[in-house]
Order: sequence, then structure tokens, then C-alpha cells
Amino acid sequence: MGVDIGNATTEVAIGKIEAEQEFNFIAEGEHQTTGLKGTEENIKGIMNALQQAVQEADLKLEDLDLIRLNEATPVIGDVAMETITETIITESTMIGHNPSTPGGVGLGVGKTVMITELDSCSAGEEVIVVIPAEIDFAIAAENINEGLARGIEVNGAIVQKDDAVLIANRIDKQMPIVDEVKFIDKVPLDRKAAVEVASSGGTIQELTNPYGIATVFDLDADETKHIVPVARSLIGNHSAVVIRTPQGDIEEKRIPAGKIIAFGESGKEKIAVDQGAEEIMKSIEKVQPLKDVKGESGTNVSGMLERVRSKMKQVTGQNLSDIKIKDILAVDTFVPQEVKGGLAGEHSLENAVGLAAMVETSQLPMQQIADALVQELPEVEIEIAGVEANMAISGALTTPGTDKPIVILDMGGGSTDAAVLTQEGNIHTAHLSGAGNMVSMIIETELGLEDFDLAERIKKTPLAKVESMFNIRHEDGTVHFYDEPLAPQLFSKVVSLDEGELVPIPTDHSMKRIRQVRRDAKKDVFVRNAVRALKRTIPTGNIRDIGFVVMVGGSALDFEIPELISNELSNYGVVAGRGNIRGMMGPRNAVATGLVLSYLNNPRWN
Amino acid sequence: MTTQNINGNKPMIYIFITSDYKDSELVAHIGYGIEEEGIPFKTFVQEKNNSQELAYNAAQNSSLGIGLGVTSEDQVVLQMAKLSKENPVFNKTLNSNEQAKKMGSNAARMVKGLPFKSFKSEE
Repeated sequence: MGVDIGNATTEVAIGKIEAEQEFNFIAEGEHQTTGLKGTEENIKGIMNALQQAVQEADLKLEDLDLIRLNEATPVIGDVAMETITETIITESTMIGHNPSTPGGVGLGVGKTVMITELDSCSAGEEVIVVIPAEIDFAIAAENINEGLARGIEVNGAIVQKDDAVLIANRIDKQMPIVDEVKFIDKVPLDRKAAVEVASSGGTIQELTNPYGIATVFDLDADETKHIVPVARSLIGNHSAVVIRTPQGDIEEKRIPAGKIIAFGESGKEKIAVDQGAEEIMKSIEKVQPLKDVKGESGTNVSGMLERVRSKMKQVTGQNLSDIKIKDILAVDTFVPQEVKGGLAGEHSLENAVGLAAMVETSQLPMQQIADALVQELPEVEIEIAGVEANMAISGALTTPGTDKPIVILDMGGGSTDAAVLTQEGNIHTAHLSGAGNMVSMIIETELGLEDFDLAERIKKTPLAKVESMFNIRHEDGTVHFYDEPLAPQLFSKVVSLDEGELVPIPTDHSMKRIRQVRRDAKKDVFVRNAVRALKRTIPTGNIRDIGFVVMVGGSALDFEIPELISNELSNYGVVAGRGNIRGMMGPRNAVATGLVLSYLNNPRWN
Repeated sequence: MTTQNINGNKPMIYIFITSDYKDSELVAHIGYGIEEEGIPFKTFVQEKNNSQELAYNAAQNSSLGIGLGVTSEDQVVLQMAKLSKENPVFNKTLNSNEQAKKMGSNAARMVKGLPFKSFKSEE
């Protein structure tokens, strides 16, 4: 029996020697890895997977002769996100949010006046009325009409509740009305403001144009330069309010996120995180092979890197100073963040860098696990056998249609591991940071989900849009009809298809956008890592020199990651695909299978 | 689709109510919800006092296929023409004008193909 403890899953395979030098695989089992890989907590998961397998084989645990544990690759990865820009509105100069139903149409300019103070305005004055939630829309409309009758030029309205259309329908003049302004008490009064609502289907034109804003507020050339971020942030909106206050400003700041210091065999590179992923990766490649990576002390990056280190210390009991970071993967992303000083809870997309770091130690304490397992199963012999990469290759080669030279890409949750078996029978390995967990993190942050499980679900399942009470449209455009009406809470929602079950995704993002984010995240992590892994493991460094790439591990089960990688690698003339261990197990069970098979090459049977 | 046209073929959401709801604030707020979303609607007083029945008939008669029924104790049912009488979209006792407005919005959002608003208060 072979037991493979992975970062996420523990897999087992039971083989029986039928004839001489011939194994017959009789059962498999798998269970979520309990605790961090390489700790005694793993026992629970191992036992569960074992039970599952022996039951399937109609055996008892005592019937097992030998259990071979993998000598797990001692790598642990962690991920983090650093925001590197931030948008701050000082003195509340603009409201760039997108209520679903603004009222009226056009551009209105005037001085902001509380609706209750409209009485004190004189004829001919140009005003924008501000209507808080406690004022009923009917009364507000009446007040506006009275004001208009008295000759006050009411040119627009800013409303707290979702009442814009209701007011627009009840007043005697067409004017732009923006509603659902959450923090209406923050709207400065007695200031010049511009309100714009686009005609149906259109986007605003004047307030997205710096010169448009300059015209409205009589700005000089210098001031116009300052309002560019305002104009930019409003692009694509259906409605907007801009209010000019004396010190009012909006700025996009770069946050100093700290520096990464990469120590390589051939020197040292220092790179600021806010330079972005591209520059970070270039520096890392420059100093390959990496010896260690540190963060500038006192910064967020250093905090993150230290976290990975201390996690590893827990597992291995090694000194912090002995734990080295051997790889980093940086990816550029965006994080929607609430704008500081905003009035309507508006968000702006800030630049961020996602980082995955991976540490390697000398060895995980597998012997402790083996000892603990003996306690559980005193009748069974237990041994630690073989390097994980060799076992994985041996297992992967059971995939029909493969041959040397072969590369296996083991794509898990925490790291992407590669091993190459050359024509001559030599094995080279590489461990890269960045895998499934990083994809989930990118999805979580780019869509602003604040829910890792939801991000995992989006990563793992295709999307559909509920189009009516009876049908959904899959992301590939095909339509599926249901006999029974769907639940109302699903209506018009984007859903994930979890084994046929429709689970609504609680965001306003379109299906197209979610799909794009998901696929880009997978490309940024896995396709990037596949190429990096091949370049590092293949002795010549040339991807064309390899014949076969077999993808194994949890992320190879993904419905699109293997396709994305196959696609990229076909550019190099490589056969790449999802493994099918023993012609039946799919990309699962490679190491467990290898552990069983390798026994034949090294029999200690007595 | 319609069995009888009360108001020609204009696309409208129909609200069928019992006579005691003629001047009801609640029904007015359902209307505000629909109006804010920009969909036309019309209210009719009916004899029957079964909100599921009223909503079903309203939906059958509306050329948009969307109807609401309101009966005693603020029982409101939102129905679409293709659903069975027993399985409406919403069947809910409304306990505030705010909820009534949301029910109206949701009727309209059904027409527009937008996700429903939650009835839970935002605060």
C-alpha cells in the first residue's frame, strides 16, 4: 500500500502481488489532508483514506503487509496581496457611483442647497437640491415645483433614497437626479456642484471630460490638471456628481509596500514591490538559482515572508534562520477598494501585487508520522520510501501514451512541482511557488468577494446566468431548460454550477467579467508556472527538447487549467495533457501508485 | 397569452387588490417601487379575497406576464404568467412601506431581467 500525503489531499493505493513482478491494484482511497502536511495531525486523514481503500478492497486494515509513506517534498507555500495604490478624496469632491435608476437626464450646475432651505433662495439663483432620506419624495417634488414657480433655477438633485425616478416624474422641469447617495450628510452645502445623468443606454459625457469639468467650474490650466483623476474615475458611469470645494482634491497615491531582497547564487537584487509583478519576476530570474528572499524590515512584504517562515518552523522545528525562501511568484492584480472620503460608498480599482512564496527545508519529519502510524496499526510494517518526485514520475508513466523524456507537473494547492525524467534516466526537479490557493486569492480580491470559499467555488466550477424562471445560459452560450421553476433568489443571478446545483454568486459582476478574472488568474499562475518549471527542469533549458508533459495533482482536475497549459505548450510542440494514472485514475494517485510500483524495483520481501 | 385584456395590449404590470386596499399606503408603495424602475403598472379592485388567486389572474392578464395580488393582512403575492397558482415567485406578508416598495421593484426587475432586491432592511 502506498500513502501520499499532499498539501491538500492524502491519497492511498493498495496493490497486491499476483504473479511474480506484477502488481494488481485493487483499491484506492483519498481524504482531505488533516493539518499541515508533514505533521502528526496528518494521521487522521491517512486513517480515513486507508479505511476507505480497505473497505473498497473488502479487506481489513490488519490484512495489509506493508505501508509505504512518501518522503514528501518539504515545500510549503503561502500567498499574500499588497495594494500599491490608493485613491483618496479630500473634502468630498465627487460622487462617482452608479445607482441603477437615476432620474431625468442632462447636466445641471448650481449651488448645493438643502431641500428644506429652498425657501430662502431668491429667484434666478441656480441651485442643486440635496434631499436626505427623511424627506418623502412627494414632498421633495412639491418643494422643487414651488421653487421653480418662484423663479429659482433648480438644475438638479442629489437624493439619499432610491427615489430619483419618482421625483423626476413629479416635477415640472427635466433635470438630472442622482440617488442612493449613502452619506448625503457629507455633501458640502453652499458649494458649486454639477450633476450629470446620461440618457438611457449611454454614459456621461461632460464630467468625464477634464475640459468639461473645467468649463463648469471655471478652472484654470493648473486646476484642470488636478481634476484629471476625477474625470477618469467617472468614465463609464451613467450618472455622477462633482462638487468643488476650496481644498477639494482627489489623488491617487502609491503606497510604499516595501522592497523585496532576493539573494541568489550570483548576487543580490533589491526590488520595490510597487514596481509591479513584471519587474519583481525579472529580478528573481536574474539571480537564479535563489538562495533566499527577504523583505525590507518593517514593511508588509517582510511580514508576509516571515509568516511563511514561521509556519515552516512550526512544522519542522528548525531554526527560523535555517528556513529559506526558494521561490516567489508575483502577479499583477486589481483590488476594488472603497474610496476614502467617498460619499456613496463608491469603489475604485487599485493596483495590487499578489505574491506567493515557497520555502524548502532539508526534510519534513516524516519519521514522526510513520511512528505515530505504527501506534495505530501495530500489525502492519510501515516504511518511508522514495523521493516524492521519483514516485510521481513512476506513477505518471502509467498514463497510456507516455514515454521518456517526460516532465510531470504536479499542480497542487500550495506549490507547482515539476520533475523531468530524461532519456538517460536522470531525474531533475523544481519546486515553484504559486498554485491553486493563489488563483483563489486573486479571484477573491479582484472580485472583492471577501470570502475565500466562494472564490474557491468560482475557481472550480463553470458559470451560468439564470435568464428566466425556467432556463439558464451556460458561459459557453448553450441554454439549459428546467421542468420546475427555479428559486426566486436565483433569478437573473450569475450562478456557479456545483455538480448540477445552482449556487448564486452574491456580487454585481457580470458572468463575462467573473469568467475573465477566473481564466486570467489561472493563466497568470499556472501557465506562467508551467513554463517556468519546464525551463528550470529541462537540462537544456529548451522546452522543445521534451516530448511529454503529464499534469497531475489536484489542480490538474480543474476543468480548464490543463487546457490552458496544453494550449500554451503546443506552441513548443510538446504533448501536454492531464495524466491518467494506470489508465483509470485521472490525474490523481500518481505518487501513491509510484510508491507501490517502486517496491518491485527494491524488494525487501522476506 | 392573455385570456382577457382589461386595458388593451399595453405592456404593464397588473396589481389586483381587494376593495379595502383601494387607498392603501402599502399598495401605493408597491407602485412607487415599480415606478422607480420605470415600468408602467395599473391597479384593479377585484372581488376575490385570495392573494394567490388574485396574483395569478393579474399575471395572466398582464401582457408582461407579471402580476401582484394584495389581500387582507398585507399578504402580497408576486406572480408570473408561466408559474402555477400554487408556486408564485414571492408570497409574503409585508410589514413596512419599505418592503412594499421593494416588492414593487422586484416585480419590475423581473420584467427587466435584473436580480431581486433583498427584503431585509439595509440598516
